Amino acid sequence: MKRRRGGRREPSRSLPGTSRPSIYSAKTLKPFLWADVPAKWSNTDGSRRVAGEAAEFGICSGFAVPMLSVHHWQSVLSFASSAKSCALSPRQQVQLVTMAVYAGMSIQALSSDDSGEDGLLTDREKEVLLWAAAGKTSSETSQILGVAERTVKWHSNKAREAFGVSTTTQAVVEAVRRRLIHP
Amino acid sequence: MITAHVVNAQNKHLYENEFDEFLRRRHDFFVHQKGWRPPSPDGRERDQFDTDAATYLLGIEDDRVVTSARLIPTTEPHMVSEVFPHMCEITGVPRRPDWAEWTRTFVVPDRRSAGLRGTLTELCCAVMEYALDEGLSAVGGIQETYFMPHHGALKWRAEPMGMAREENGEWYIVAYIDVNEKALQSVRKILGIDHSLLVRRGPQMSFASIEKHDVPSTAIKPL
Repeated sequence: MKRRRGGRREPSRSLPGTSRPSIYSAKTLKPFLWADVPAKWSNTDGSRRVAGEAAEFGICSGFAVPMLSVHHWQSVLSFASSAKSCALSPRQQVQLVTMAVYAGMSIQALSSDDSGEDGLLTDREKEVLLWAAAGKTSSETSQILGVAERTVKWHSNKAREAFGVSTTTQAVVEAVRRRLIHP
Repeated sequence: MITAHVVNAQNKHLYENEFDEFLRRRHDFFVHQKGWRPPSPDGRERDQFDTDAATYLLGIEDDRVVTSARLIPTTEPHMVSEVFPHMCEITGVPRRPDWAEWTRTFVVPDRRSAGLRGTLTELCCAVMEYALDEGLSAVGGIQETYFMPHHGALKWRAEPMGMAREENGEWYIVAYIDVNEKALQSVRKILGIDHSLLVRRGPQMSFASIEKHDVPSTAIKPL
């Protein structure tokens, strides 16, 4: 089973987000079999390439359940199968949708952790943590940002306080976990 | 931010205009936008569950009804018991005085928003506050599967009564949400508020006494 989320920035190489089910899921609110995606979206070069690459990994057919995502407008839970075409009985579809609903609720409960945390770190604190994540020392970061090393240390100290942790490494981990920075 | 006015048989006379506006917004939503109901010649949407057993929360902002909820004790006839009992295959149809069916929620188009801090979440907060005030232990009913993740985002727990099912081309599930202090705290935290959204005007009837609505005088609460 693969989970795919809408609203994510995609690099240019082919990724699940460019596949036909992902695109079609932005057009419909109803669960659907991948095979039922209209040719308009499934018959493009990009879509065929992704489908070909996925088939090499045994992802050949599937069933997708689009749902609301409060932070990304829409999400989709996709169930993949290595069978050439997946035949699902109405009962099996019911089971997959029910499963998807509860998985979707749980995912939302986990991923809404960042609500109310937007103001936890200042932009400068995030910048300092990003450079720390890139392996820069306070001294190097101070040169990159054109500020005193003392200032850099002050910002990383503030970030550690915000999370209640004792090292900058921990602060970086927390900031990434809470999706405040994207190194 | 909305204020949620508690309207039921006891104080409906104080809300004639607002209630009429509510029925017209319902018509806009359930007839024109959703296509779930046939048009009504008077442009107002009502169903067989708009009885004295129903309590409405009318979400009012800038003198407009922008959102709503209808709550009915599950001991009274309600949509799940009368129309969708087959969707409670796991537990059977719940009939408990402290479980309320929640239906007829809409948000007017210009108040819909992406993200969690919006009119819909404010209405959810008001419903949870009201349910907690009235000593209910669960609220819920038939819901579109598509929107179920919203409950998760509020950190609410919802118990399914049966499997999701397709009816008339849409997918639904019957589920009831736990009512507790924690659920109210989490939605208030998301909204960044610590105050009540409810407004109670005129004579008030406790929700639990609704099944005895032929003798309301025993159940009048002070303002």
